[in-house]
Amino acid sequence: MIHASVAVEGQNKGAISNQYGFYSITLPEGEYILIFSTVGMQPLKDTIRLHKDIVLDVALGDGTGGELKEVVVRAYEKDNKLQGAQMGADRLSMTTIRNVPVFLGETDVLKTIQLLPGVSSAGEGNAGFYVRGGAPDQNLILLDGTTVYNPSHLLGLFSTFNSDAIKDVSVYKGSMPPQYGGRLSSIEDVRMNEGNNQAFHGRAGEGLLTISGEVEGPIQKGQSSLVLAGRATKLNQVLSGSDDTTINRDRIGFYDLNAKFNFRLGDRDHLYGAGYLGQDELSIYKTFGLQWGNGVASLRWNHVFGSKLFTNTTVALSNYNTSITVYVTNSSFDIRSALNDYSLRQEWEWYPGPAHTVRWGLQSIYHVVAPAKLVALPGSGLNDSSYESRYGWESSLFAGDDWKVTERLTFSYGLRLTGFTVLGPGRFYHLDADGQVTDTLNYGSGRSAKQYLNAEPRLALGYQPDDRSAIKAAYARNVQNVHLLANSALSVPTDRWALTNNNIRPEIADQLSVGYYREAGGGDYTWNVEAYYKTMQHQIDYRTGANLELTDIVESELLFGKGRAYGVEAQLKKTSGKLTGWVSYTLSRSQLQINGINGGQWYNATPDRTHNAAIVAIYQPNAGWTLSADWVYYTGNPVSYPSGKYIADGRIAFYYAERNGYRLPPYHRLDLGAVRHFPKKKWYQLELAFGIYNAYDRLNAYFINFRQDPHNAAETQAVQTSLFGIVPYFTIAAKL
Amino acid sequence: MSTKIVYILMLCTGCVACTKVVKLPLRVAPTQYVIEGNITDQPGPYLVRVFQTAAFYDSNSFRGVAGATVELSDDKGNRELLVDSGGGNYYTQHLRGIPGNGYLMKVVIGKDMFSASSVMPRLVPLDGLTVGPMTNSGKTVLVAMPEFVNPAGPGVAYYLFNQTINGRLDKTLYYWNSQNSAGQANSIDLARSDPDSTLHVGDSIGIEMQCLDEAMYTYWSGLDAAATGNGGSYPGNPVTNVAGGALGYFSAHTSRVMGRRVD
Repeated sequence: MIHASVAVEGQNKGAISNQYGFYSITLPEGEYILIFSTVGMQPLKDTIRLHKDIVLDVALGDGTGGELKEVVVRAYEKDNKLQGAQMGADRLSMTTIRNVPVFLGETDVLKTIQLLPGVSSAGEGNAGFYVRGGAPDQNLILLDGTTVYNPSHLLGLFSTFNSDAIKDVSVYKGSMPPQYGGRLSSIEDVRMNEGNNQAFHGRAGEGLLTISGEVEGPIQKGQSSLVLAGRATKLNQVLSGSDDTTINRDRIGFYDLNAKFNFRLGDRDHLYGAGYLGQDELSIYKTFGLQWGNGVASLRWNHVFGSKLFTNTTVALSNYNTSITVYVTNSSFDIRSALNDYSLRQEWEWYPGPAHTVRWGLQSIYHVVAPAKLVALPGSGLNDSSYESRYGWESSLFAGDDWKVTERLTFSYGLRLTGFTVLGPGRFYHLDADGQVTDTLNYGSGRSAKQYLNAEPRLALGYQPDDRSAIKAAYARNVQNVHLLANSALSVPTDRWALTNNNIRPEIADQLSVGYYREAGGGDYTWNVEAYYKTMQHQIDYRTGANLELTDIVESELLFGKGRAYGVEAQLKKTSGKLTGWVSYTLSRSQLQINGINGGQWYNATPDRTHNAAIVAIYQPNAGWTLSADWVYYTGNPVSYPSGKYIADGRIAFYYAERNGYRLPPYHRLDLGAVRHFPKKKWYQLELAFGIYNAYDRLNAYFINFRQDPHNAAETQAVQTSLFGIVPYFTIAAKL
Repeated sequence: MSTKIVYILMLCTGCVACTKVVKLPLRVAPTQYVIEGNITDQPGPYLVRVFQTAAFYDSNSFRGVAGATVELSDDKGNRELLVDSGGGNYYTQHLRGIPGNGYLMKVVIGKDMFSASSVMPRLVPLDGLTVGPMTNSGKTVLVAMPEFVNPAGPGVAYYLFNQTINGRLDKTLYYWNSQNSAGQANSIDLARSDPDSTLHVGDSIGIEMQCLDEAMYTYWSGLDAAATGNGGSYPGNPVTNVAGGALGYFSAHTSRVMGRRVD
């Protein structure tokens, strides 16, 4: 059980279990009562008599069975931001996420974290999100520790994570502990359900757009378990059933599957296997097709050496692929691209005494990016061709210690060393200031074309002046070697990934942050304020009119410079009672300075959001109902609008005086939802959810474009496109 | 491509009609010079137009710049000052465009000097013009297809097509190259960017096929991606081959035209 708390009754001592459910407490000899608890589960008490090292495994029940009706199962995390030195972090359990309908009644891990301070949606119809002014590719999204490159379905309307399969998500906004790294802005560590090794359970649901199901249960009771979850859209059936021949052969949909198994191999060893497979298809009949998907698989072995040392070893692979089908009169051709990661990770966790938790380990990832392969069918008039694959080997060594200096002072310090080797085979280019090739170098297979080594210090200090407040400060450096090159403000699945090479250097971010955390109203309320300042090196933007689609020398279309981002985030949270929820607000700025853009002056980066606010309220008057509302507001993205116009060969063209000199209109939206939990029947329980997305029908701008007035050729006009007006929804689910 | 993705997304959300005209507080930037110079392998005179940008909410008429000094020359030693015929139009009298030659344009307006060079590539002959049906977004539409054979290489041929329908210029920019189709007969049709567009029986169509150098191809693709007001890409001004700070281009290209009636 992840992040369960283990407390010693009557003492100010305890532990939190790690991501694999392992915990360690050091106590003098004697008799103690341990209390085990976690969100959504019944707490458990156990008496131990301690005169030697012992291993105590416990299982917690979900509180729905048995006779202990009087036990109140806490549905929300207690905000434990006061403890430790970690800051800029949040953890949301599925229990919380389930109560926040974010899109047409679908609960969604990644959409819910976008309601946290410092995290902001990139907009409807966009796959990504921004963390503290960073671009979407600066977020590392991990599923059970393995990278998921495109976390979105249907161009961002859904995330790839099926809520039925997920246990919780931890978000680190830049000040991550040393065992995490690889992206500048954030880590989203999504963990799948472990699966119940005692009894079988299931869940099936039907929403407006999807059907989903989950089953879990023991393979061998108490020893092993299996979870399977799947989800698919039902839009294709709707389209096929239509009489409208212009759409009834189109295909719009996705499916995804999650699986995880879990074997206990004796007292000291545990084996986990986890997999994810998802695929999207969007196609207009014989006109255009787009497919993309992720596949992730990992195998992990945990081993416990005695009572104080814990290790795990993981091998994993991650695949992301896209395919575009382009139709010509009598035939078609496909443009396919793929990204593959092969990784190995070894991690140690050591509890030398009550004051220290020491972690160290290594990680090694071999990246292969195949940017484009053109597969032509007969009659397409094209020749098969492919663009050079790129290879890179990214290795990290990390070590860190959480040191409880005193009962009130915690100091976390650590270091991560990240090496990146740019590998052949391939051609590498020297470029001049205009992006023109001045020299080409050929490297053979396995030969190193360039190496980078970066040290990433991670420091964090937490001090609790009293039991109800804490102040913290942190500094962290992060390095990123995999970069997403999106030459459009709308992020689409065909955006191209590139590895660090001789021209694209590792992106580096240094973030300094301070925070104050406070509990109020007897612990019912918590609030906190964090401020951060971040500088970034080797940031990437695009030359005007860059074409990244079919070129080997992608870096000739890019420009490099530096960035800075700063802001203040505040959150007020109510964690108990019938009404729970939070209010979050962020005031921030994110800018870039790149020679060749806006005369080398600082300009607002696309993820810049001056204001970003969210209100989430969940009201549970009784066991039968959950009512919820969420409201978001954020400043529109910086965009480039024309400052004039002219004619080019008989066509109207627009003149742009600067990049990102304007903003889209502010975005705001209110969602209302209600869930009716029907009384539990003998072997199932029904749940009906309904609500309204965009309750006051705000037509938010998806984009604004400019054109010649179709009714008056002598004029030009601006046209705003919106994706969603008000949408009511309902979904039904059965728990078995 | 991004327009197609956006189209699918709007189809997904059932929101194809969720658009409205908005009035934006657009700043008016200082006017810029725009230079459009063309030289082809057809007999002259060739035209260089010099004019100024207009504000977004002004009407689509652009003030020509008279009194400029405009000179064209080639890499064979021919040189000519163009005749200012008013309204910002400057014409050649003698110069001849020949495939394989390099051309230089110089424009002086007061103290501002602009120059550009362009190489006229070899001719790829236009062999025919057909019209046939294709499926576009579930509808069967009639589209024109230029018939020609991509040169086998080495090197890449770059094309721009202009289509007129009943005498009116089709605003879609059609540009592609032979990078992935060397030696193959052309298979790409003039499918208009608006999915509802179709040719109709009885239409009189004309196409012009231009063979351009790489810089002009980059200009047209950049203009199409970034400066036509389409919301899909990062907008900006296309990379021009005109040095000195003016908008526009100087294009030396071959030109072949063909027309037919849709039947």
